[in-house]
Amino acid sequence: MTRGQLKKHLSFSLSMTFTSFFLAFSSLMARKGEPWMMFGATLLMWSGYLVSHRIETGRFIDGKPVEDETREGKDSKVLPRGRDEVIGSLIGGAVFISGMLLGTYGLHQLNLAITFAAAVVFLTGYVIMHYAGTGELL
Amino acid sequence: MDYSHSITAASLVLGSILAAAGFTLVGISSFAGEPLMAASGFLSFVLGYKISWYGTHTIRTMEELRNEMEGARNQFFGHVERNLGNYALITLGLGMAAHGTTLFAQVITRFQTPEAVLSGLLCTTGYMLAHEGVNEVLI
Repeated sequence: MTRGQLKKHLSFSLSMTFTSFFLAFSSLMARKGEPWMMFGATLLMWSGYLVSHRIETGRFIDGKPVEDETREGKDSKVLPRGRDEVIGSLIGGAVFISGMLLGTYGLHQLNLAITFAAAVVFLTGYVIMHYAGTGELL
Repeated sequence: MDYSHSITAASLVLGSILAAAGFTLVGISSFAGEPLMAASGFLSFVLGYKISWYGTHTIRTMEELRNEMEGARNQFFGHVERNLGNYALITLGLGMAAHGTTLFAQVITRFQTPEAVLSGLLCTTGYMLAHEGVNEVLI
């Protein structure tokens, strides 16, 4: 792994940890019924997601050229195709669901540390599924 | 004059505010047991995302922005008719996701296995259907 790649992976991990923290914090604010605190936390979470997306793909938002905006010829998939994609999606899906379950427990207990850990697991599952399906982390 | 960077930045800021406000509405109304409000929160999120998308990928000059606004006014119904399938998927997906998050909030407050499974299924399927409607790819 080159120095540049290492820097990219490190920045991505840091940015996703930031995103996970504010996902957990905003969920906790939703549970407590604090709209303004939740709005602030969500704005930070979404900014963290956009920055992570840019680190991984070079763009803040996924896109396609306007002229390709028809459904014809678009690589729209319903089910995973290759064996690796199936295995990746299953592993990612299991991690994703584990994160949701842990999050349910953390929010039930009103515990930020558990909810934060759950958000890390949840987003890791999402990243694994996304990588399995598209070859990109986000 | 090249406004492309300002348009991208403005669209990202405006889109993020709408997205965050949408998520907040989803979170607060889910715990309040109001799925319709949660659905409008999801709608605000999709709107914010789409504004950021247009500003980042298709609109590069003020001229294009004006044309796009004018086009949206003049061809609104034509556009809806051409993309009816996508809008149907978005409506169905957001409705399912809103119902799912409201159930999820109930599960957090008082755990019940059937509701937990149903909310997971509704949220995930709803997300994928709406994502297919917006981006024409499931995830």
